[in-house]
Amino acid sequence: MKLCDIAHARTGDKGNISNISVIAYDPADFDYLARELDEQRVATVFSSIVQGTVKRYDLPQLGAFNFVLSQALGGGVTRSVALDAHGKSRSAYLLDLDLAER
Amino acid sequence: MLETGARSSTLNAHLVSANAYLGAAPIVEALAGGADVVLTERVADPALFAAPLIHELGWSMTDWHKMGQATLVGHLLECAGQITGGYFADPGFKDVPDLGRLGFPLAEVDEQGTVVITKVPGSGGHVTLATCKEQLLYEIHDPACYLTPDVKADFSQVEMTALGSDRVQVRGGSGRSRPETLKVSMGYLEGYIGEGQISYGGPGAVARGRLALDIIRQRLALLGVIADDVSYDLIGHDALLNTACKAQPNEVRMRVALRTEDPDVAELVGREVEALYTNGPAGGGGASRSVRQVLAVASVLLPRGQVNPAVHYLSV
Repeated sequence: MKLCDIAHARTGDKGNISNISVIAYDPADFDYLARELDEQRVATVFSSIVQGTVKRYDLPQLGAFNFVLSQALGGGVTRSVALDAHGKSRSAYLLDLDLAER
Repeated sequence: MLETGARSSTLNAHLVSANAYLGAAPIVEALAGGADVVLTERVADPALFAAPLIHELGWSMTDWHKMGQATLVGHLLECAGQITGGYFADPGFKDVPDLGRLGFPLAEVDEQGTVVITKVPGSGGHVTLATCKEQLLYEIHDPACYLTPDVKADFSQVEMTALGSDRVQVRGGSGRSRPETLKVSMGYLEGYIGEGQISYGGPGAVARGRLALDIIRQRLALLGVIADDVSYDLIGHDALLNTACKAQPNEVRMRVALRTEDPDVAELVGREVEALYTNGPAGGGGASRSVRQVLAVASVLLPRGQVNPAVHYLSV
């Protein structure tokens, strides 16, 4: 099973910080996703582009997580030489994660 | 500066602009003064929506719970179509009807701060729990402490209930006292970004794209080009995540972009890529090039007492 089968996601940007929300379609999947999606796992997905840390914030009542990636946008949206300077395409790559059997 | 820790005076020679993010107060003042239309300088996005709520519902701007609720409404509405199905559709997973006629959102807010997000009947898109949750967390860092000029908003306890077609109730926004500082965005000139692109297709497209990138690397080294930052990409293969895709695409677009203080160097990149037509791998097509000046942004915090907004009224 892929993350995209049970959750959706959206990326946002501020300066050199990228944030990616991951939201379970069914909030009952929150605990399972909390075990699967630790900060280290998300950091590994984006290791080629994120120089800073990954911090996870939990919103269990919404079945949601917010991952905040620091030093993650090539020095900042306005000065980055990246094709996707805002990093907005990242949420889709995160949804490609394989999830373990429950 | 928040980004680097360096002093803002180091940018003085290149500084173009500096704008403090103001809150709702000057807009509320203008509305109280009878303004029909309010033009602002840079204000925090939620303030555009918080101000009319404060004005109409008579909320105190030091009632931090109410300011948190007003900011929650503003945050949900500030990206317009992003809560009604824009920036959301993912065919087969998240289908959205009639995006070509995307309706913009409305919020119904009562005196207690209960909010219903909806949109104009008959317009495209939709308002669902999923669209509202995505927008709630959009460009938020710590949900318990979203810093704005008006309040440290707390969205961490927000709950949502679907009330029916295109109606979602949102409760639980709160907040704590506003920050003592205002964020100031400083625009400064930081050289130029020069870019060149060219496409390769068919069998071996990735290998020819890679060869093209290698040729440009070699050319820039031979020419003694020094860049502040440079990106070598194969669009369609590794340009977004910087790790190669598993499948061999039927076409790729090679892209080289570099940032430099020297406009001639920025110009050179695109010319070198264009020269790949005749001097590069087989079958290169559709070359393009561009140079743009970089207006970079850095942020500092300013004690709010040093910023004195003024409201001027015009009759036309």
